[in-house]
Amino acid sequence: MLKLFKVSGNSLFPFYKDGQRILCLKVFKFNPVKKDDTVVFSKDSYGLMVKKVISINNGQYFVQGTDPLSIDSRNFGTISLNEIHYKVLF
Amino acid sequence: MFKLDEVKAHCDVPCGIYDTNRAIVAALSVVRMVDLINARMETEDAASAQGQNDIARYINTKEEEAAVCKEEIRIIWGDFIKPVHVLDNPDIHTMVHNIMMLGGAAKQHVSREKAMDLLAAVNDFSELFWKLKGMESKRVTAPYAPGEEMVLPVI
Repeated sequence: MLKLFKVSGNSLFPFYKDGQRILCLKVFKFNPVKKDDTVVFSKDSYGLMVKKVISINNGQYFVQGTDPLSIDSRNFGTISLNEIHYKVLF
Repeated sequence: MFKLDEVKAHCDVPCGIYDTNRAIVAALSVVRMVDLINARMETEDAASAQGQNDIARYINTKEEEAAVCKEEIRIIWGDFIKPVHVLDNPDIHTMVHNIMMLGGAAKQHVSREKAMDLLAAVNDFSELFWKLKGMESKRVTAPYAPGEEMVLPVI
């Protein structure tokens, strides 16, 4: 249920920095994904990523980093709930 | 002991490399060019072809360096500064806009006072920038002409 990850990159700076450890809780029925949550998800060739949920429309989640050059939904589009594995606690 | 899985928070260019030093050096260059223009104007052959050529080059460099100064600050403001920084430091937008106006004034005039105003505003912004990066900064005298003050990170 709980898992530690190491952040690689600065696209979520200043909230999460390169090398920072984050504690995450698995997404399940009683831990739903909401707007403004930071989530860990897998996206095709990009691998395991961490971004912030900016909006949710029709079961599709638009995720984005804080850096304007972040690779996120602006590049690969929205993601679905089955691609989201964890929510970041802190 | 054990290896943590990595989650990617990457950008499409190597990110995190922001520094106000180029803006400060550009502002110092503007001051230096004003000094050179004024000094050359005092020479006997200032109106000669050589004198005009020298002054034209100083003015051209002043234009370029003022533009570099503005561009460097714009990039840090646009890419590095985040809404959370603005919440804690609500004067950031005003500081940056002031630098843009002072950069324009430095181009329009041959005024040491205006050039020094630009340098002072860039140094103030630099102090705030290093504070946001969680680093201390210090004010030192530039080890080259025009020998004015510059803010550097304490590394």
